[in-house]
Amino acid sequence: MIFQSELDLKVARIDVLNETLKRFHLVSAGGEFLPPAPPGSHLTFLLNPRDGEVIKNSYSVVSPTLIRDHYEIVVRKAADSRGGSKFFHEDVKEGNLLKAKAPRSNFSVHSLARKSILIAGGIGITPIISLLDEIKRRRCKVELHVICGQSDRLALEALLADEALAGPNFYEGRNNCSIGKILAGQPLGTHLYICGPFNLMRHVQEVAHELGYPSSNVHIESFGATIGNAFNVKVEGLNKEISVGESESLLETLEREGIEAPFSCRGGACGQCVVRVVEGEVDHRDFFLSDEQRAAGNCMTPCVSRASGRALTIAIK
Amino acid sequence: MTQFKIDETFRDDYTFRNSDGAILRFPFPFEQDDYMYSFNVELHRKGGPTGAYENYFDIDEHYVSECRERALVLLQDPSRCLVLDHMESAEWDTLELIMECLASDYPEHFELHRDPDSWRWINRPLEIEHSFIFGDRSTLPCSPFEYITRQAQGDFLLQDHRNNNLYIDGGMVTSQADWSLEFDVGMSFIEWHAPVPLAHEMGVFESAVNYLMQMEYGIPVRRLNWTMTVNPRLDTSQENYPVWGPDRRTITRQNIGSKLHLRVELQAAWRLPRSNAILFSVRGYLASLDDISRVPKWARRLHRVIKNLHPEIADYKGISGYRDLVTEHMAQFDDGAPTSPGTQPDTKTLI
Repeated sequence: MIFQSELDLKVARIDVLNETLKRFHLVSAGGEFLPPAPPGSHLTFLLNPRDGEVIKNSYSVVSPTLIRDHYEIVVRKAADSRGGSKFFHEDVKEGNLLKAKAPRSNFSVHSLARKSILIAGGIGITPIISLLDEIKRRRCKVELHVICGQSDRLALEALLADEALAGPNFYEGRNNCSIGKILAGQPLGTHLYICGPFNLMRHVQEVAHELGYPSSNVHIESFGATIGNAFNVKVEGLNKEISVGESESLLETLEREGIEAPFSCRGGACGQCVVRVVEGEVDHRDFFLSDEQRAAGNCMTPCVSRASGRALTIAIK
Repeated sequence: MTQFKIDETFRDDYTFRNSDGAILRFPFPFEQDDYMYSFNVELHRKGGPTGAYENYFDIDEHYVSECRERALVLLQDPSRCLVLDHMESAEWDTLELIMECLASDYPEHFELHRDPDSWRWINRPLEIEHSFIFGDRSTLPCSPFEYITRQAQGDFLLQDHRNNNLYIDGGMVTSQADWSLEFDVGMSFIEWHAPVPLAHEMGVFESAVNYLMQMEYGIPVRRLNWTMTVNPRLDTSQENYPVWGPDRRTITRQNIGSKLHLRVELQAAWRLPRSNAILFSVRGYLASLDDISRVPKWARRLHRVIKNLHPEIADYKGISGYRDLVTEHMAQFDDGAPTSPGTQPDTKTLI
């Protein structure tokens, strides 16, 4: 169903693509249809590599967006793995069950693009694959440029095989690819979609800016993006300190800890969830509080706003 | 299982009537004894103060008749369904969402079978059975958006999210409260809401557009809006103003109870997955003042809200001409007793 927020997934098949890349086919543990995976979307897995430890890792869905009976993800075994990719590569077996949040995307296709240029750096190809699928269904002109190491080229080419795209351009190494050449001379109304290492994305943004691309035509996906800094919160009267992670809101943390907190819109607009701030600076991200209220610094909306420092003390009405 | 009233009319002889059950499930819009614009948004989850909130897309006893009324409007004026070319992906997203919700919430009335090569859709109340290929519009009798919204109650709008803004780039609008889709299509969210008084100064629409743009799919939200309509007429469009506008001067002390209707829109916003567009569903409900006065809490509160309504809001909603008559009529049901917070009827039976 479309409205599930947490999914129980079963590993139906694992393909070894090369020494460091594996593809996982995931189906719903209950056999029902899965929520649609939007173009450019990722699944955030809640992994239990060891008892009592939960790590959250996000991987892009590479299966076409129309498919509802399974998802495919590709996981690179990272040398500096925090445990997530190591766990996928070494511990996850066919038939295992995994928990994930429903797919989310912060990368979407611009509906009026005259032409789309997709640029991927290495494993950054993964969110680009489902984006390409949606762009092609819209019958928009498209170019794909992939920059990767020599050892990955065959595996990444194979990933794109289903896409039957005329001439994806492969470059072995950054030095063999001139972003300026790719971006120059493109028609007005061209949109850029970039996913890869931070330096590559920044470089493309700079070149695009110099060439006069409007910033609204440049779309980047930063892998493993977080909502903000982690911080600690004391709730007055509860004698309890809780930790808000990089990828969760204060409201979600309160709920996870079983602390009752009011809410309505969960998007910083209605003001139902406002709590009193006793101590600490707030990074206000809502549309509800007035400038005066922000300046006074004694209240915040926990659904979207965060601590600007490391700690806050709040009181719930 | 819903018993459909299959031959109601929303024009000419106006045979539309609410059953007792339909009155009790009406989404009465006033949380308290006065009314002002606010950002009254909450998550669109199943369940709420009345039966109208039980499912994602509410189907009630008027379903068959409302679909027939929509077909009549479209026959006279096909421009009531307009979708700009770049919204085709959003059209399919809408069809999938509505079919999936109806089939899962009302399995006795609707079925959706997804075979590997084609989908089969069964709509029993409208006697439709059709196989088609998802994504191939040549396998449907009309565009996917028109196809599914001809089979759903309420109006629907498609908003494209691009350039950090929202644009109204499509809609099926046959039961609107005095506006025109053909005039508005392609406008940005703020342009589209320009005629609304007071709310701009309050910053409501800027908040709303920012809020909608950060919506995630799978987490729809809802709010209520309201106005009043003379006769149970769904098509109060700007295009047809000459047909229904003069009715506003036909309200008298004698006919107000049966002729004047409180019109409530249960509006929900849905992020769509592949297009990243936002579907806005506007599910309209009508209840006559006679209907409302059978629920004591609602009758008391309606009297107080209309009596104290800001004159600019009354003007904008087109009710200034008969506002005093409404206040006078509803006063007989207001004994001054306090009303409980919230919109629930506080009764299981009507008086």
